[in-house]
Amino acid sequence: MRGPRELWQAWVRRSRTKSPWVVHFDCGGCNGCDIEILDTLMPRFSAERFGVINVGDPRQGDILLVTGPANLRNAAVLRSVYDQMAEPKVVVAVGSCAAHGGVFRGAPNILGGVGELVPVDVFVPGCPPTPERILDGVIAALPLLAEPRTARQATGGPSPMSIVMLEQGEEEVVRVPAS
Amino acid sequence: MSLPGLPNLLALVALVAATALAPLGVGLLLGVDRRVTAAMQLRAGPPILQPWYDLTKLATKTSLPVDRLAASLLVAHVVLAAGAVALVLAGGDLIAAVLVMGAARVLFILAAGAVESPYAQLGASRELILLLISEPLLLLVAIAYGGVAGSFSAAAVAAARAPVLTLPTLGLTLGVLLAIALRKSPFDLATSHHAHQELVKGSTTEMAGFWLALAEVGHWYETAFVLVLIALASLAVPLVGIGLVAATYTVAIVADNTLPRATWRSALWIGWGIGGTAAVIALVTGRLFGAGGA
Repeated sequence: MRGPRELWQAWVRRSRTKSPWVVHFDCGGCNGCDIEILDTLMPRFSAERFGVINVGDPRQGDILLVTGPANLRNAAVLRSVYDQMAEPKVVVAVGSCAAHGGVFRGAPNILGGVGELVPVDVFVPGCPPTPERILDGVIAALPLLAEPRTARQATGGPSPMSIVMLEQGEEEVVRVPAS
Repeated sequence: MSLPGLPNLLALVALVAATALAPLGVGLLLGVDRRVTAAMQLRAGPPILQPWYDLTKLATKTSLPVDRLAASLLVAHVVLAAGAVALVLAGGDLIAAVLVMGAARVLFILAAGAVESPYAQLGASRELILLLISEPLLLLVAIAYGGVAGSFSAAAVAAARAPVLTLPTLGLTLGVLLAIALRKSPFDLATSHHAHQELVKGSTTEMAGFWLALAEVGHWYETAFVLVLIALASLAVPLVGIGLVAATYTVAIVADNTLPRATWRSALWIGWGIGGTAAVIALVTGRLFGAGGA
């Protein structure tokens, strides 16, 4: 028999995973991924059935959807958007550029993937990824939202490991080298 | 409503419980609303408990720095909004309740405008337009109820039976008021979760975490206030009252889905033109044929 405290905590964890509000930030790729993200939010793929709302204010967001390669021009902006979000929060890197710089890798102003600047929890590969795969990536990130990052690390949860979405519905947990 | 047979303490406990539970009930109703709206747009829609999930998540987020003035104004807003609902539930004066709710909404507008974000200030000035549309209508409804019952006390209005002629016009005005309270239309003023609005959460731009949850509770009290006003129309026959609330709510959802590009100008015309005329007709017929008539 669970006491009221446990019941409340279970309710809070459930609420956090069922109410993912996304903040969408484009580091400056080709906008292909951004258009796919907008598609994902449209009625056809109906992200709202998972409680997803697209918010404009990072302080109100739970999931940071990043597209494009990390670069010198807006590194501070990405970091600032991430810092403004309140825990619990997760980062989903959408597309090849966000994962490792993509076709821009090696250009003088490119730092690489967004993992160079913020801790990425889920990588969604593809150039661009399909809306189904982006939705899969967001859903893979939902369990991570139940606890703040520090609590997750203390209990040996999924962080600092990251989830890579491979095929439709499949996922693989890989260890990302600590930066 | 008044509880004549019970000791005062028990009545007070019941009143506090009803006031505390009112926003939770509205949250559930909004969850059903989101499902119905999604079905109209051929989507599945979120779980019915979604508004409760959102509220719990926001309230349990780690704390964020907040503008102190805005935070104090938000607290005052929720307290006054809850007070207005409690005043009607206690059978108090309707005119006073409408004015208290008006004051609560002014406090919210001040809270939204107290921060430096231009989007929040734009949202605040647009909230002011909504207040301009709805406040005269609310007063007209209260006066119409006064004509029906011969008294402005909510208890007397609840006991009175509104004339058949008065109900549809009163329902029309209250439908307009509900549409405004739900913040779905018009798209250039709305602060709802819908994607079709122009300013995404304008007035709540700078609110986050616990403070956004507080703003949400205030909004639910405001919706509860309008719903209680609708139910008052025919509490003498409870089934009709529930039916009237359901019918008015359905009309509000259909209107929102049919007019996704309604602007604040059309809202002003529909609000004052249709809602205002209906309210005046309700006022006159209620006065002529109601208990307050000669």
